[in-house]
Amino acid sequence: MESLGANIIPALGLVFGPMTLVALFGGVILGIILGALPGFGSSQSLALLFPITFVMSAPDAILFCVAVYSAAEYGGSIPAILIRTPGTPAGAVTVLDGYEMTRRGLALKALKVSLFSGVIGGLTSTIIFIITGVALAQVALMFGPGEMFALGIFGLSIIGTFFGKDPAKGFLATGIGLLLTTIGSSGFGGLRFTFEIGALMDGLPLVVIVIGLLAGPEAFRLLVDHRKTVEKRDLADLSGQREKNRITKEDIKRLIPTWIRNSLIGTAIGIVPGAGASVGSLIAYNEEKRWCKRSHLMGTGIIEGVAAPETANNAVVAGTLVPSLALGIPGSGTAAILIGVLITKGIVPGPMLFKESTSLVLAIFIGLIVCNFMLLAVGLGGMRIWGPIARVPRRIIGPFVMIMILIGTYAYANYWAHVVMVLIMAAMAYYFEKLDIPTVPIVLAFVMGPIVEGNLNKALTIHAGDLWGVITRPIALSIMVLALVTAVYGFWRSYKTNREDEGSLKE
Amino acid sequence: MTVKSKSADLVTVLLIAAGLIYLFFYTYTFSPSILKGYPGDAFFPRLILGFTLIWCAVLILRLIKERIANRVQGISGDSEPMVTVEWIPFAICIGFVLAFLLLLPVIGFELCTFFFMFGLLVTRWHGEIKARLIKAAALSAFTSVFFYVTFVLLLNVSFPVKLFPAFISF
Repeated sequence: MESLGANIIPALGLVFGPMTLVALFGGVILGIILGALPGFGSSQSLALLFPITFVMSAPDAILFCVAVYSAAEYGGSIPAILIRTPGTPAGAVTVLDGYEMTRRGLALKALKVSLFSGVIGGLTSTIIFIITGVALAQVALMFGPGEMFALGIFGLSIIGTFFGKDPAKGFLATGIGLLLTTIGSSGFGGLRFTFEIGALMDGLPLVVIVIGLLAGPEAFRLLVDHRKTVEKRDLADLSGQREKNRITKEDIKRLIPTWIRNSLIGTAIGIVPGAGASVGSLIAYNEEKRWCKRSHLMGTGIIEGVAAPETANNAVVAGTLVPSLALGIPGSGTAAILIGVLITKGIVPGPMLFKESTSLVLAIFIGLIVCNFMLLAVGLGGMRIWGPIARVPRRIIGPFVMIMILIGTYAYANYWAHVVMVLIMAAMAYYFEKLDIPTVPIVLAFVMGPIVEGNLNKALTIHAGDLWGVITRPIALSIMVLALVTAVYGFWRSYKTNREDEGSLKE
Repeated sequence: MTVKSKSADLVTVLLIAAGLIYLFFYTYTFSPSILKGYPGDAFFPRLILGFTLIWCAVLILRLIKERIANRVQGISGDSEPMVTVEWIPFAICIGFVLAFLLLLPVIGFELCTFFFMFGLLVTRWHGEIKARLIKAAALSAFTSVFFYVTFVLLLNVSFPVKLFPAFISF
């Protein structure tokens, strides 16, 4: 897009404003702290901090969230390396080599490798984000409402298929999410599913869904399961042994191919909706095992084993932004929150965002780069400080998370009915997760619902109410077929996995 | 409370399906289309309800089929995976939250936050009761002040405050 160049100066102005820099810095620190808390992932961290964005401008809010997301992914590696407990699901693979390094007295080196890898993964994927995002948005700009509706259906098919173990439950959750979007005003004067309850007249706010379904069940888990939690009190000694923990030129030479490979893997995984950082780090580790010259030593505490998953899970961050911003399809719970932040600020994600708010897109791009450098500085400066955070007993985190949820939700509109809604959503999500009904698709479908319905209504109005005419246009039909293939593939994969599980159980 | 996961699945999906059917009929109370070609208020909800009901039916049929197959093969239901719902601690948590909401206008945000945190934290510390009480009280007081400063003073959220404005303001 030719306007990219013309918008660089305004974008730089947006990023280097004092409030934006404070938001970025605060996001990095809060992200590392929340990510380092054992068992607390990036989506829960963002859901919990969502209310803070209410007082921010759109660029500050989105950059704050991106900073929290990136920093939480790095933060997750701290307890994985130091106390063998991943802070985020994506950090689970880092445990394998990271903790082995700690046992050999190389904890600081492992933390440094994790930080450098995360920053390099983040920077590389940011560059890929702007190139692919612009290209994808340019293609999507040619789409009409019918094609955008089909694209929405494709997004929903991915959401239903790839979240959770069972696609049928994934689609059930997707349906529930879509249904929740229809509560309140229809946009044409009518009211739907309000049952004459005043609190439902304006529909369910996104903040209620995000906090209730993403942070809520985690709060209940922390509060309910506290007696079962086994605390790990032993923490690696992070003082001394500077020479041994230094990253040498030879280490860097060894890590360059790992960084390149896994930056690409992480970005690609991030772009694919439904995969996310945990899948990215797992695939990265497996691929590293295949390509690394010292693959036979993987799992024994080598730097490549830490660098591979950490590069990939930070590269996922910018990758996730590609479909989220260019097409309006959130690929993960975290992406849904990022889109949600934009929507609450009156900005609609999608191809028009790249055309109409070019300076904002560029600000996100520049902000991601700045955020990665901030992460490097804060991460290096506080390396010895983050350790004790990883040791905070999991059982006492629950009350803090719950009070944060209550106060944060109320802060959105000073309305207690929202807090009650969050409580109901959180209880429902807690129960659903017990039954393996995934809750992330509910959030994603809730974000996509209005976009899908809006495009369907426009397309139907254009085609005089002929739904068949809308979905049989060549591009729309191709996308719908792709959606069908995705769903069929999901069921086939689930069937195959179940058969394999049954086979191994019989053996 | 521990229940068989398949039974819990079946009951839950049946309840969801019953709710969806009710909502489907409820959509007939929505306003009709006002424009030619415009689908009307009920069109999209009915599409979603139909879509969700299909997946409910798939899950119900699959669960029933599995039950019948297990019965035919003589497989005991005892080998089924179980789901544990810790409803007592769960109900206690809900109770704390509801108490927070109900007491807030009465005793104010500061004391409410303090008692909410204290009540939940005191059972989570290990060791002697006196030390637990002191630790929980100190942390609860800190949390109360922290949230007051952050949300009331910095973010201007209008909580019903009763205690701190006399001591902390800027």
